[in-house]
Amino acid sequence: MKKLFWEPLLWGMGLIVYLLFFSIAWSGTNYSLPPLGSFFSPSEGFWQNADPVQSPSPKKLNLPVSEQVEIIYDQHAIPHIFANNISDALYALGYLHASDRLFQMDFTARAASGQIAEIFGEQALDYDLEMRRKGMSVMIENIASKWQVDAEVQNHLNPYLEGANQYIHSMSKRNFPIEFKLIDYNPTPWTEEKIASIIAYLNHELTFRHEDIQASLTRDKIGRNDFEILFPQRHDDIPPVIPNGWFTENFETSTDRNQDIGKSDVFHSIQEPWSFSGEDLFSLPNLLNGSNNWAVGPGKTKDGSTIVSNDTHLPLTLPSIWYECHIVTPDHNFYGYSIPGIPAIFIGMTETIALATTNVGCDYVDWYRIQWADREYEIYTVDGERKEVQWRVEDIYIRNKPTHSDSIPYTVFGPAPFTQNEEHPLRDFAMHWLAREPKGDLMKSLTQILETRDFDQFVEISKHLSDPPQNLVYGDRSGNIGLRITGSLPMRKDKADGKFLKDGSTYDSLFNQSIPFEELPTTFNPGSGFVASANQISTGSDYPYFNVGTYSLDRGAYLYNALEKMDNMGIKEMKNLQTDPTSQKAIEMLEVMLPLLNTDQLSEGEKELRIRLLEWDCRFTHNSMLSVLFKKWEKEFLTLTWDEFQNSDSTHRFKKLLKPNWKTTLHLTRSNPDNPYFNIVATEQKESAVDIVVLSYKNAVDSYLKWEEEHPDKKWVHYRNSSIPHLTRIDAFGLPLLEGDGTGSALNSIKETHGPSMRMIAQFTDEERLFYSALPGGTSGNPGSKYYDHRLDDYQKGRYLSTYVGNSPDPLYEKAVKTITINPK
Amino acid sequence: MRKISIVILSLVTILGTLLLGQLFPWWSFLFLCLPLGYFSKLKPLNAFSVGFFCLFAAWFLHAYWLDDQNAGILSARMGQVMVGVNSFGLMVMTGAIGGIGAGIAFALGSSIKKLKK
Repeated sequence: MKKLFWEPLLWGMGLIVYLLFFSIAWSGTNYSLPPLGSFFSPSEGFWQNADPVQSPSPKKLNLPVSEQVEIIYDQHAIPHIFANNISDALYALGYLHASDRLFQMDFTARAASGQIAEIFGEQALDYDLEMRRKGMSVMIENIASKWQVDAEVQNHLNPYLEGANQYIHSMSKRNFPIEFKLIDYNPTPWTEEKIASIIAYLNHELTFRHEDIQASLTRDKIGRNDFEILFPQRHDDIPPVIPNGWFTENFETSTDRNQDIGKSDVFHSIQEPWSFSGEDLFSLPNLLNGSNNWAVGPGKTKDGSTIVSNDTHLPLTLPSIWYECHIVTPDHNFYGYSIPGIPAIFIGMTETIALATTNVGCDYVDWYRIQWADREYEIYTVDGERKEVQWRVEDIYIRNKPTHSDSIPYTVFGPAPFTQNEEHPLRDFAMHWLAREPKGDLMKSLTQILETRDFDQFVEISKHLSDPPQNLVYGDRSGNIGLRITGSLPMRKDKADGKFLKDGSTYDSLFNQSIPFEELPTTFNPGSGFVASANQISTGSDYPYFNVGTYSLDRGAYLYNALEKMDNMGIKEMKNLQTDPTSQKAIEMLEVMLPLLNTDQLSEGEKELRIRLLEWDCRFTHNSMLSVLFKKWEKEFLTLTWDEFQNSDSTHRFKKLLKPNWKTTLHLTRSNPDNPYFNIVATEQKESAVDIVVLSYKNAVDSYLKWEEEHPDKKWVHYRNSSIPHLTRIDAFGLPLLEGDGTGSALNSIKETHGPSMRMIAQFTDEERLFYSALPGGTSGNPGSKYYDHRLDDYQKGRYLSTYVGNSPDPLYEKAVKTITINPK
Repeated sequence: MRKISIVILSLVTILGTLLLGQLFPWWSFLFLCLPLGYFSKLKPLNAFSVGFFCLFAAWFLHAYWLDDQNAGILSARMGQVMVGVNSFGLMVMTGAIGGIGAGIAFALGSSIKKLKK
């Protein structure tokens, strides 16, 4: 009897242990497991994310739209929305974004606003703190606050939010994206604040660049004269985005173009030795975030058509940053690329115009040394006036831990993010980031793009576009082309204003003016027959305002030269340009360096490789070997030349200095080969540029031959080692090796985890509109769907899809992979 | 007769599990297995085996069916997430997780019945 009593007790305890064990999320230092019972359950766990590969039968929904909406995923799984009014179309877009990319939306919004610790726990606290201290949450509030008083934008946001939330509310656990199940948290409704967060994320990726402190340290070390020589703002052989003589306006401005360096430079020195390492600063988004765009007019094309091309270089992730889609109503037809979470198509083609964009590299962040009146960091002085900081408290939710509160003092110059850390070398400093207080409203201009029919309207809508500054390329079906540089372009007082640390003890140095809207650089139907940009410097010497920032040195010149030379262009030429792996940097460097190689000093093997380099077309094709050799030589040459900038310095204890770029180095090699910087500090003899070229070549060849031996059958793609990671870096959800041609300095600008995040070519011929596109991913955000990465293969091979941009859904039905009909409830 | 009743018991368990899974959380099958164990007339250890087998089959087959529809795309990725398990291994793990719970619930039901005797 006693034995019998124990038996159910034991089984009962077993059941409790089972339930507990399989219902709790387990985590340790190296692992984190979701509750395994739910996760493995075929009826609610990850198996439910295994989307059937067969096309589902047409879906019919009754939802609160005003008229019927038809959504058709074409044979490439690109969704086309056919609605009778724009509100219904936006409702459908919200529904589609949420159903295809909900985790991406949620995660991006969290990453932007510093709310990652809420799902990943304490390990993500530093990341969240950094985003809060940069002022991201302030920016998000500022962006969203503009919408409260704008009925036009509200009318645009509301149906989108309804559509997205309709989907979110309709989900049960089994339909959650797999990442929610893995990380074990629940989706929450989509809100205006989250839309603003994703816009803020774009601002962060495209404008949060600063070198002020490193620049100041570097100038202190090498002196003002050397700094001017080694870090010029302009390289004369790079055609600017809008070259002299292309402007549509005649500028009448009082700005004195001839002001030299130093006028803004009241506070020009760090003045005291302090330690600084790169890690002390905020991490920066990839400096290569940029793009190519161009338009060619009827005079340059073989059939008199107008062609607009764009490829945006951004971090490559799975799912893709972009969501390609098509919106059709009786009054609109817009095909292009949206960003999940934002109710808009950013770039693409309407019935009358096509738009393409690249980023402007202007300096958007300034650092100020604040004159603190107390060590509690509450009072500071500006022009002798005592001022009190405004405290901003940021509450950061941490999974399974108490909420962390962070107080950040805000000065008139911006937040002083490091005051809490007594040891921090930047403790006294405040950061001004132009995008934190946007003057315009990106959402409003995106709302109005839909209604834009000609260049004047296009210029008009760009009025609202303050951040991020963009080179917007325009082309239309009447054969017009144009380019306008839009945004809050900082009106710098001279060519060094903003480049260095600024004086926070006076209002004089407070940066607060932007170039007036009427004077933003614009060109319309220039005589060249084309417009183009690739993140190079914005304007030439004719433009009355200064360019201060970080600009691309290679792709812009290559693109300009190519387009200038080419006539009778067609789609094929556009495709070839976008996928062109020729490195402008390699062309220029080899032109200078190869002739300096004295063959008497070379071994037989080195001579042979020299000849191969002489014959090389500088194309970084996937199987090229000389690309590997060139990369090694370039690195070795720059490292040996700028050895002075490598090591810490005994007086200043610097750990991080700016290093001159390759273009300046080449210029110096040509113009002043005996410059003392070419001397290697560690050796006794005096080296010149020629010695460095030879020595770096020999080292590079050694290293190259060793690599070749150690990696038989490996080529440029393996050396480049590019990949497309999943958003949260889950290896199995990413692409470990991105194949295909390209390198950072080529138009086909593929880097480690970075590159063309889409490629589009839009063409207006007399009779029709055509659209070609390539995407490094797919439509779905679900790693269990065949449409997660179905376009990757074409992308890697440089192939394009010809996509449907017509007005009628009828041609799409036959090959559709999915259709959804939404009827009014 | 006894064999038939086990077959019926198994069918009820498997179909019931699949049905409950459509409506209720993953652990809902336990509330089916417990009374089935009670009424099964099986000894606890036998009841455990039957429960384990039924849930293993139900979850394994459900997972297999979903994987088959999906041409194994997801299970290939999830196998890597689970450090190198192949899709068959994932299905076995799935079946075992359900099976253990059902086995215990069956045995508990059966042992309570034994207690009442």
